[in-house]
Amino acid sequence: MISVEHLSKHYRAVTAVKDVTFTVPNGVITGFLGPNGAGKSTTMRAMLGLDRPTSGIALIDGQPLSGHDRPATAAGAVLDTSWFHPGRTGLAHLKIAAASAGLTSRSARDALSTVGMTSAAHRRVGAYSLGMKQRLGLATAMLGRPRNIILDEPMNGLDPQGMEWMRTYLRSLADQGHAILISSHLLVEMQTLADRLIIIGQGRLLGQWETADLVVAQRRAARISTQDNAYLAATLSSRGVITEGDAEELRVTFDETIPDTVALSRVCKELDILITALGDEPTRLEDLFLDLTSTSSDYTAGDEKQ
Amino acid sequence: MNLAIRAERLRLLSLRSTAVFATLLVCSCVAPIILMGLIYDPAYQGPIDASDLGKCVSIFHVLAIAFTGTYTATEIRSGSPAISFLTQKHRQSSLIAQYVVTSVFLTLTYLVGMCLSLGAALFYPDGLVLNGRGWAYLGLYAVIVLLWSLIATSIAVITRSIAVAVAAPITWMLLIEQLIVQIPMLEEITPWLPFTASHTLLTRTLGEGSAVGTTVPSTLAIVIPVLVLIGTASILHSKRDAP
Repeated sequence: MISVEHLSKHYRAVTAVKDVTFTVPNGVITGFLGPNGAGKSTTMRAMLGLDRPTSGIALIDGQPLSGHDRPATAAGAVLDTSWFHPGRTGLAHLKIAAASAGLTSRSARDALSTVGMTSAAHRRVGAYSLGMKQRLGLATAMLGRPRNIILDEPMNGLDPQGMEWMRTYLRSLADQGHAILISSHLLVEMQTLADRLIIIGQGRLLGQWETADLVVAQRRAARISTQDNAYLAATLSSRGVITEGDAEELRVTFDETIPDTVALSRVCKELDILITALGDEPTRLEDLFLDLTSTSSDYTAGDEKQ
Repeated sequence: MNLAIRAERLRLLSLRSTAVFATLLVCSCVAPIILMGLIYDPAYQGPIDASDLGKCVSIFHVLAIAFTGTYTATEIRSGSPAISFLTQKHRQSSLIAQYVVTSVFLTLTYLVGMCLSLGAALFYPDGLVLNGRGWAYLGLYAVIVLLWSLIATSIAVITRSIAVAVAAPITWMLLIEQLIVQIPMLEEITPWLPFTASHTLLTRTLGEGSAVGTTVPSTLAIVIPVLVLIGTASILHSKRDAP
């Protein structure tokens, strides 16, 4: 488990992260979201001791990473796809990391095989695609079979097969009890992959939720098709319910009168209208993300403050 | 520490540029002697001696600085410190290992280069003359080269710049100190300049320079900058945010 307690990081006058507190529990995938420049990478670097926090602390299984006798078994991380020498082969890179962590060369080969990169083992990293570098990075992170895994934008550059492989791999790791923290800009991906979500903006924690709870809480409307949409729309409007749409489909915004789809179907029954289609409007994590971060993005198109 | 040294050894040996530098370093020792034999001119009659070999080492010296500066700064840019910090308990281990491994590499190339150079000198028409002072001179020159390579490594760690790590020591040696030596008003500080001090020690060892005074000032002039730079690099390596 990873605990971050009141972590702050300042670069001279710039506050990159301010008083951030959260936990990354074992056995779940925690998504770490935020706009560009929100402080995600800085937080992750500080958690791993790569950056020195100005204040606060990050504990990996109860102690800072440097406090572990074998750090590679406590936490593995990929924070940057430029963490490779372009003139070195993928296998050589892993052998060096393995040697540094006190592991055998065999473990380097195994890690490369796990990420499906055996055929590229002897190619120089400079010739790797971004997706291949992501896989090599993941292999580096997993060398010591760490209990905690921290990945910064691991889906970047992956093709659909690569993303599917990454999803399956990360899920299997979580199922084995690993604590996984992933930052990503791919919000739809996070909505399906992450069990928990942490959102930060301008270096401050905006909230943390169970993804399922968040999705339910964000259900704001239903889409319904009936034999007589016009009659239904008129009735709902007369009761003060916001309804939009046409003869094909109506969008009904939930409120106290119609709090969910069950209530809506009761109204239809009461009006003796046959429902042909009914469902919650898909919840978009993007909407919540944009709501939360609308006032905390450092980089907004057309914003004069930049 | 053993793990860090093993990792640094693999790091160094896994690059093609290491083989290129090893070849250049060895060739810098032996190639001038072979060339002197090939274009032998009786007008310059006389056996090969330590000072002739020293001219070869001066090329080795510049190449050694270029190698250590480039290698260290490139590794920093490639995220090697971050990988080391994530896999090793102490931050210092990776830096110490790097000092050790690059020094061993330079020592080995120097030994190979010198052996080949001495072998080539045996075929020189006027032969080879190397007395005890000559051997001491070659040994001291190796130590001086290693000290300057430590300077280049330290500057690379401090500045994280390939250009500065290579250019700063070479410019200091070949330009700035040479300019200072030309200015009579700065005569008093000349003995305290590290490159000049290095050569003072070498000429004394060879018995060619003035034997007045002790070697302590010259030794301090070269050792103190090395220690200061190593100390600064160590502090920054362990305290500063990883690149």
